[in-house]
Amino acid sequence: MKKKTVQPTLSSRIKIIHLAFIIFAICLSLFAGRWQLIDAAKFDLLAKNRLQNQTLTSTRGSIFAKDGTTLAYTEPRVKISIWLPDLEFYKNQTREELIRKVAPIIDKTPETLAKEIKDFESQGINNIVLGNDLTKDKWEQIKNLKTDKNPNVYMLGFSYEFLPKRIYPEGRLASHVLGLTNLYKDELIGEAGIERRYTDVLKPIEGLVSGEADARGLTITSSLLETIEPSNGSDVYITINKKLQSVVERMLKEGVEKYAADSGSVIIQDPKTGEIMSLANFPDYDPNIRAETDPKAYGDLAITSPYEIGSVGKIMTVATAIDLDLITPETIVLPEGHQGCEKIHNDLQPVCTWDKRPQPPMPAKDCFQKSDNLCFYHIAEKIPRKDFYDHLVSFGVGSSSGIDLKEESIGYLKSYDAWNVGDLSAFSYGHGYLMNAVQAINFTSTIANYGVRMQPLIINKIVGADGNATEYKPTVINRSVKKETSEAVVNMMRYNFTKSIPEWNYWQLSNYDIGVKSGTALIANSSGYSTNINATFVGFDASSERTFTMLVRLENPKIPDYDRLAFYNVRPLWLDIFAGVKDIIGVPTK
Amino acid sequence: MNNTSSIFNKQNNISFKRLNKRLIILNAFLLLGFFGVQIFVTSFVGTKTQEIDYTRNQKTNLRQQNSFLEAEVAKEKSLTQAQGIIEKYSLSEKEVNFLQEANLQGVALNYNP
Repeated sequence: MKKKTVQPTLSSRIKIIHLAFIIFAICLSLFAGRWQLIDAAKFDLLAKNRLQNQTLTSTRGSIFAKDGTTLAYTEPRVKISIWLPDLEFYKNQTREELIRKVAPIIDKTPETLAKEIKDFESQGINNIVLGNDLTKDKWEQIKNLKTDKNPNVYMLGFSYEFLPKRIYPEGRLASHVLGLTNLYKDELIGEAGIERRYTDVLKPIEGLVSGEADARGLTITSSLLETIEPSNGSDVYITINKKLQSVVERMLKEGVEKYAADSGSVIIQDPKTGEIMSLANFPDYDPNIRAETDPKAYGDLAITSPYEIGSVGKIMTVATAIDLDLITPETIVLPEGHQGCEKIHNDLQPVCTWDKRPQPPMPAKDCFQKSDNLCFYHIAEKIPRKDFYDHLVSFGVGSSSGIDLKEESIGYLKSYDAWNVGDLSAFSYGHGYLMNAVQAINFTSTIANYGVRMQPLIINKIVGADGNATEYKPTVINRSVKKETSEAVVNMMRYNFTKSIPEWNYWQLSNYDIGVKSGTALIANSSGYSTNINATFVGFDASSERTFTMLVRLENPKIPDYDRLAFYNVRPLWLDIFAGVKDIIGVPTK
Repeated sequence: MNNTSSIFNKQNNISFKRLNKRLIILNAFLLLGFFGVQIFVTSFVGTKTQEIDYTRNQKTNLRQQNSFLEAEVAKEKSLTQAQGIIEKYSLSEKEVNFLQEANLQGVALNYNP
């Protein structure tokens, strides 16, 4: 019997195809649902792993002295790690071999390194950092290690990361001006000085390469995004004269030790431009090592530590009186002279001169030279309080010196309408208000600069990564006194200098046209004043060239113990430093 | 009636087979086209991957080398480094007297043009 074959009809075939499509669509939906909902996290991770972002590093800008020599730069250092499971993966090398070859390069014995690796392994740590501060040489030595099995094959399993290290090639030199940096999240952050103030300028801009990779880890070309190019930080050129700074720091250290002071500061400024040529404090620190335990060593005392400047403030008192035409250098201030001390108010201690000795009638210039407090109280009495206040303000008392550093701490000046007779007396001889050393040198420079106060300039120029330079020009803050007033005060300070060097070993310095003033002030404490002193000495080139102004301050000098007046410690130190730097600055002789 | 239906079924069978044949040919063309386009695209784009990776790595390495060199230059520009050179080659400071430029003012020159 012939078997009957059943031919499928067109409609039944279409139905089958239709059914197949429906089954396929259902499967697809189920799979899509599974991918989207159940396995979403897994696929998300896979996708993320395919996205390759590579950060392109660049370096922090350098800091240079005015002559273009380096004060701070960044050196890339290498962090080298190994991933333990990888070590077993490479067949050409053994773990023992790797330890034996790497250990001497990272200054360890193979036994020590093997023990360290074993310790980490026992704690379940697989990523082991072999070193995070390795130099380029050591990095290259590790990179070029070959296997024993095949000397043409490099050892594998290392991963490298570049970290910036800030280097200060001159060590302690200008450490307070430069400041320091700390590494935070692989980035150098400025913590003090120029490093802090200009951290955004010095900071590099990192670049980025972004793209997707295929399953083998190779880049998918069509997915490459535009590369963001990295850019180095800008270079900062400061006004510090390195040679001058070097001499000043050495002599300041010797001075602080010689006079057994707690600390010392020296600032040298160009009065015509306001440029800080040298700024030094002692104790100081090496920013590469930071081994000092004394916190004082890390502070820039010249700007962070306001103090009573003592008789140096008489420069402002006498300048104010002359500027207001109340006296001349020849005016006899006390026609009857004085007895060494004078009671100016029943509730106050008497005002005395430093030696409490009677004095005959004296012209103002001799009052200035002898630093006679009673004379100066009577000069201040002649000045209307508002005018005295306005002059002190115009000399920079109570306001920022304008130096481009963040840590400046400025003193306070009481408003003139709240002054009492005690305040007036204290202000007349440089007490009662606080100034930092930069503020103090700046008003001295104002006198040297014919009455014009310049902004203290510490930055010379900034050169961007593209080579474009921004120059910092001298800036006038204000005119504090008339030119004639400044000339009169310069003459008084010049007169002071000729009387300031009785010692034979300083006689050669009398060939220079110099104006000076000293100041001694007791250091205040919680119960009034201690017996410790701050000794300050300021002076400048009084020749027509006005090449420099210099301030030297010693905090609590204990030598000579018979008399700790500025005359016996900070004055000879000022003269020593002047003798050491005059030729570097180019101070003209008479 | 039966005759008519079988003729119709036969015709349907014939047209369905023809359609299948055409679909297979179309699929074959589509498949060839798909592989062709893929080969064309990968030959233009995909094969550059390794070159791009290599160039990118080269660029990164050069940038790294450059930062090492910049650090080296900065180090060489320091006084400490200069001091090291002075000590290494036993250099010493000497007083140098530069000759003064002749000031010919007021000097009777024996010169006849």
